[in-house]
Amino acid sequence: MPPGFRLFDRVIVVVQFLLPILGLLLFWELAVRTGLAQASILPAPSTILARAVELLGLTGERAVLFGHIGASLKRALLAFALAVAVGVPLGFLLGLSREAQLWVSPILSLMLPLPAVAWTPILLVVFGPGDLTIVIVCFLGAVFPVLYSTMQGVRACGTQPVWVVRSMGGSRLDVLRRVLIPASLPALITGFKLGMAHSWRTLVAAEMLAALSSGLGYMIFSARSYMDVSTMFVGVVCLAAIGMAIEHLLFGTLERATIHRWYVRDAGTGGRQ
Amino acid sequence: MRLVKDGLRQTRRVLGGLALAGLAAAAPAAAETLAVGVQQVPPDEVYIARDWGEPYGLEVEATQFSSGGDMLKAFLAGRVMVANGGSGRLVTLAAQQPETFYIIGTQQSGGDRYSLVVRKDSEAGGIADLKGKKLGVVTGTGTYGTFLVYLQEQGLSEADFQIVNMKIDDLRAAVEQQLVDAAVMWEPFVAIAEEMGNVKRLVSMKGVNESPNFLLANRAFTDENPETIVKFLASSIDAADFIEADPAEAGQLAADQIAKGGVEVPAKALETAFTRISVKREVTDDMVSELVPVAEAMQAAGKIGEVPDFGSFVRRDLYEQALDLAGSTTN
Repeated sequence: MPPGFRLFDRVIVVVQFLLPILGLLLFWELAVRTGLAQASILPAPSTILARAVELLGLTGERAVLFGHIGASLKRALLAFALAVAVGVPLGFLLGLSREAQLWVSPILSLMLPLPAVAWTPILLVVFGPGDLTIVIVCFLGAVFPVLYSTMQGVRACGTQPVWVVRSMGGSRLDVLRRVLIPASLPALITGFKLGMAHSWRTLVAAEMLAALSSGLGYMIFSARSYMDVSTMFVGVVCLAAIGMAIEHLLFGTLERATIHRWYVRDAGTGGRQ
Repeated sequence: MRLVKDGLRQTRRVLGGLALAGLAAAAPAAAETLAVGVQQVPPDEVYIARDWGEPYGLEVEATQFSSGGDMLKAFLAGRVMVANGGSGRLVTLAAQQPETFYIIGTQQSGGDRYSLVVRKDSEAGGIADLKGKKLGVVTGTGTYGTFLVYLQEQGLSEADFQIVNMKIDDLRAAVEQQLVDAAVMWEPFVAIAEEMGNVKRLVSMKGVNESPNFLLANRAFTDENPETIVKFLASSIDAADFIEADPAEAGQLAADQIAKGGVEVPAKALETAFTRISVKREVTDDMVSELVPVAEAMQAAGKIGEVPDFGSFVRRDLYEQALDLAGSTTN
């Protein structure tokens, strides 16, 4: 397909994606303007946008919103990185070793049903309010999806490909590099997506309880404390937009660079090379 | 006996005042540090907006907590040396961990900061007109306790209304949307709601009781560093004097402080709130005696064993020294 057509297709996809969102915003705006919804309870999108512009410092005021977004992103990404650092190796270990699974599974089964936010009051007493408590809570939210997806990915791989590589003289590292990691990659990326989404969702609740002076959760909570409805909605919209951006830009790019490229190619050639 | 006690107290005040005035004069050279817990309430916003400890050589490390409960947890864990709490929490603390704290002052008080609000177009002229109607309240709070006393004074009771328990931030919207006919709210929520234009204040609880939020200090820290606590109290008295003298400027200062976090509150609403909130720091006998019925109710409910002797927790001597220190520094 010529590049011009490909670009046109891409634009169509983006427009199709944005159209329902724009429709919803238009309906919302009209509902407020016609008095169907009260502006003091549900501000119009245009009011929220105007407030966001103020908070971004575009009208000459202090750019507080960037500070809150930065603080939240830093905490969520740090928690996610820690979850990957712990969850992936542990997932591989549990996926490969039945003995390790026997020992660790009961503890995981005990921890899994606990909502990460439930740890906040305990962590507040131990570490006090601040970044450490928030990052630990977000880590607890993110680590289990990463861990379980990795485990599932490794288990789904089966033993035959491993035997093939081993019988051809491949080392354990070869098995890991050429069989386990590529085979479990789709599950891994799904785990990353879920882990980041959980980290991001948990962040809001954790920041409401434990943030001292920054973060989107803190901003929403403060705005609620003083009935500043527009700022509350700015915070909520930011959370949704950033969450969506992370999923589409970060993980979408990662998927395109790995799974889509490799598996589409594999489909054409009959296997990975 | 009483005269001797008064005489001793007076002497202690004078000596303490002189010693602390000397300290204050030499203070800026070596700043002491004090970890203080504050909340997202207008008087605390004014306190953290300025360096009120500076004239006393006191560096206040204020930590803003999302709730009174979290602040008290931090206080009990020794993370902050000064915190504040309402009567319910204070009674529990006094009954269960009496060795942990002193009452050194009040953070805010006064029945006028509690109001019954209705929609602006409501035809209700008083509480009696709301009999049988839905009232939005936040149960278990000092505000609700005060409202119950008010009802008693009016010859009414909870049973005369349909009580709906809600969150404070949802009450204004509930009144506007006519989900409830009226709501019992506290400042600054009342003033902000009035400023937004859709509700009006029907009844003020002024004079019903004081319902103070007490300033609490870590007992061990206070015993070791009484002068630090006195300096903090003096700085707190200065902030209170500022609020009382100029509510408009205090409202603007608090609004600017809140705006630093990206939140917009009308300064006018905060000014109104400051005219209704009493920020006098002195703990009066009436305030202490208000704790007794709360404790008796909690005892009857099996929440505490005995009714504590609340007077034994109050350190009026520290307040008096702080008053002298604040006066001497101003003069």
